[in-house]
Amino acid sequence: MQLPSWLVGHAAYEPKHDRDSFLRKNVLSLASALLVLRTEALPADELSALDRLLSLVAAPVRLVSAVVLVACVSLAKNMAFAWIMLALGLVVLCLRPARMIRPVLAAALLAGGVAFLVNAPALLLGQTTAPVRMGTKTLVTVGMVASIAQSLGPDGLVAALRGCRLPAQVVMTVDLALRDVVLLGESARTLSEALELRSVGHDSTKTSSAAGVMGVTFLLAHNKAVARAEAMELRGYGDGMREVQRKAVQINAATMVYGICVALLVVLFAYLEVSLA
Amino acid sequence: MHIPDNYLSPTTDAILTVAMVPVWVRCARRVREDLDQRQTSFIGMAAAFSFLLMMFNVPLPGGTTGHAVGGTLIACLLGPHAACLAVSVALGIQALIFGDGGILAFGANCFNMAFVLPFVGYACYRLVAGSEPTAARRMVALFVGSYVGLNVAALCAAVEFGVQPLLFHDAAGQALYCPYPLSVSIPAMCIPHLLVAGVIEGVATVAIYEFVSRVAPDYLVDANRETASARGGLIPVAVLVAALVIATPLGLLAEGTAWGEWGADEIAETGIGYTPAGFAEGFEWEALMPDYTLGGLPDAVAYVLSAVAGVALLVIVFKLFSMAARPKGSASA
Amino acid sequence: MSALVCFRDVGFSYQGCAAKALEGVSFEVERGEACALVGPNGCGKSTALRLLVGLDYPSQGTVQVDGFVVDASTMSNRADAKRLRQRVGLVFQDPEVQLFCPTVADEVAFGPRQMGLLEEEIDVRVADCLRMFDLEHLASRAPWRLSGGEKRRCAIACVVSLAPDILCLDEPTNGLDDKSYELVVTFLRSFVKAGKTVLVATHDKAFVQAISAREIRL
Repeated sequence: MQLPSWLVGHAAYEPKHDRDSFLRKNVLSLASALLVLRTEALPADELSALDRLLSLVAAPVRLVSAVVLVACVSLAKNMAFAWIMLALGLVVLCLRPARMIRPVLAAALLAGGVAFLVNAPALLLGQTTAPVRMGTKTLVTVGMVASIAQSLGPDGLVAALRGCRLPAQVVMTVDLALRDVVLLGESARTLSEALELRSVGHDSTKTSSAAGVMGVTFLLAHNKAVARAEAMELRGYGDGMREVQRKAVQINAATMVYGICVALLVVLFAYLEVSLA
Repeated sequence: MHIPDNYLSPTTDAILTVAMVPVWVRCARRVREDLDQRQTSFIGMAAAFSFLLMMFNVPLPGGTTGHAVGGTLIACLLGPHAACLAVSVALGIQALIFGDGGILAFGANCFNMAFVLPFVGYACYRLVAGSEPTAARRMVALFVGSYVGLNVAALCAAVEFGVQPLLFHDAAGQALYCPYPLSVSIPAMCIPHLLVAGVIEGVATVAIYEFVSRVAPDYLVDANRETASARGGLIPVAVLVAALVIATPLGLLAEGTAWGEWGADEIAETGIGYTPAGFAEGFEWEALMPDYTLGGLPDAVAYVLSAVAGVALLVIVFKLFSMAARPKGSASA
Repeated sequence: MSALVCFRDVGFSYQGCAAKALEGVSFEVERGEACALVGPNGCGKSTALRLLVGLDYPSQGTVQVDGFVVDASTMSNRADAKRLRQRVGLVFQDPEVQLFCPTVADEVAFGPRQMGLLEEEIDVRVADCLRMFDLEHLASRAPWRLSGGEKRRCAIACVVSLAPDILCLDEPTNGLDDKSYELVVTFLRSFVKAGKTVLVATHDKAFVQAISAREIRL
């Protein structure tokens, strides 16, 4: 094959300057954020001592406890309980490795910030505490949910849902949704890397390149979802998931201690609401 | 030594804040160059010691209270640049969340406690310790360094207070901000620190440094040769931090407000007979947990909660900061 | 003359994985050589290619391209990173995640456009690449509508249009029909004959022989 002259030459290339780091970093960050739900569990030696203990607690109990505590924080009229939960949440978080802290903190701060901004007009009406209360409660509850989602991982979340006796169809839908999010994230991440590798100079069409990456991500995810649906149909899925025989939730010592601690927190919530009313 | 808002003029606040910016930038760069990921993460624990020491108020002569800072401790553990960052972040958390120290005065507080204190303290420590000190000489150097560092910082704060009535007063001669001249502020700040707070700073620094260098010597930057190769763990350090957190309510036993930390409602009763205009019309920040209290909870419980939250936040901040650091064991640039 | 590509005692683990993707890997590739990274599944072939273009950085050892050390600090200089990625082209194993432009012609033109070439030069490169990889009739088609083999040829073309000195390909023969296979082999043989360097990660022994590549076992 006769190769063209521009291909066989060895001209030194001087790249043009381009201010692409903001877009590049944000597209990659978005993709990486979706990968938080990657199904691989962290190796045991990377988990904090507290997380290792928490992994012994039955997943359904952790999930139900999270829902209960979120409800308590949301319903609290007095901020004392929210601050206590914030302090506890910070302690759990500070024991984790830095790369586990960042996504949880980012999600919590973002949600808390949005809640603060949405309630900020209340300042004009003289309600100086309302934005702070809503912002703090949102920060605490989103932080708790993100923290437990990270700690359980997608497999743990799905196991927790099964343990909560939800219909198999619901559990499967959640399971597939979580996997689709990971799929989206992986596709987006690899496409972003391909964009980065070929961004060797000045991209005058940055927005459309980034849009191309996002568009192809969704197309790929759609195609893979369609293929998976066809594969499921070929393996007998058609009228919904059959319910399977489920094992009872194992109540071990760790689960009992965890349950007692959560119960004490609920009692504390009730006490604070009554005594500080 | 936490200067609240409205004690210093906005000009003074601005000058000291601007002066701190290149210091912070330089310290962040040096920490990135000198410390690896593990040591950078450890700054959070070291900052926790400083945060907790600042919560242990002690009664001082004159009916006021004071506290140690621990800046020289961190400087001797991880270098003065790390100490500057650690104390700055601790002061930031205290100002924003607990209302301890002003927001506008943040630059001034950092100048005194995060810059002057650790750098002067560390320089004195190195001067006294020499190149390869014996254990006894190192302890003496730690005490002297931290004692001198704290007192020089207190002197700086005293000067910042004392020049306010000279430079900023109204037509009638009444001070707009801190009303006490140098002849009052210097002895009021320095004597208690020389007699009591400096000693506590020295003792705390020696005790905590010796403990950490024994249990976690490989985290130290300026470790002694004979301990540098020994490996340690952070669990004993974490246990010590936890013990200090639980003990923080002892800081509530000391009654009285620290000199120079009176509120607008208290200042007139200190003897000057008027409330400076800067206080009456000045900036007010509503902290989430003012003075480490929480509406409805007993003070001791709120104090411990504040300590827990503050320590956890510091550890988180520096763990996140350590993500930009070089991996453990790799050579510095 | 020192080697063009040099891996010296390289180690790497993906975040969240206890097992090392690469451990103590050392090899060199000379200028104008074709080499094939071979080994069982999971031995780190794709990882080695990712380290070469700076998508990840080794936790131990060094990766060098013509004396340039590829690590986080050198790659933080954007100009150096771009220079490296113009010199070292990487074609992913899955071509679907490499194509993001509206048409095949746009895909091939993307790299040269980035380089700031004149429109005439870009047109020449696009025409040459479409011809070399038998994509002329697909120039205005959307990449995601191509067949598997067409996508793979398109992915190679859009990297070749950068005129790299080193072409890295991850499992380039997966899903190729006989005609596409011959086309890729012919291109790579010509590429190496012109003094350029090829590094492939592959299980395909016949392909390795066809391009006369030296095996590097991981």
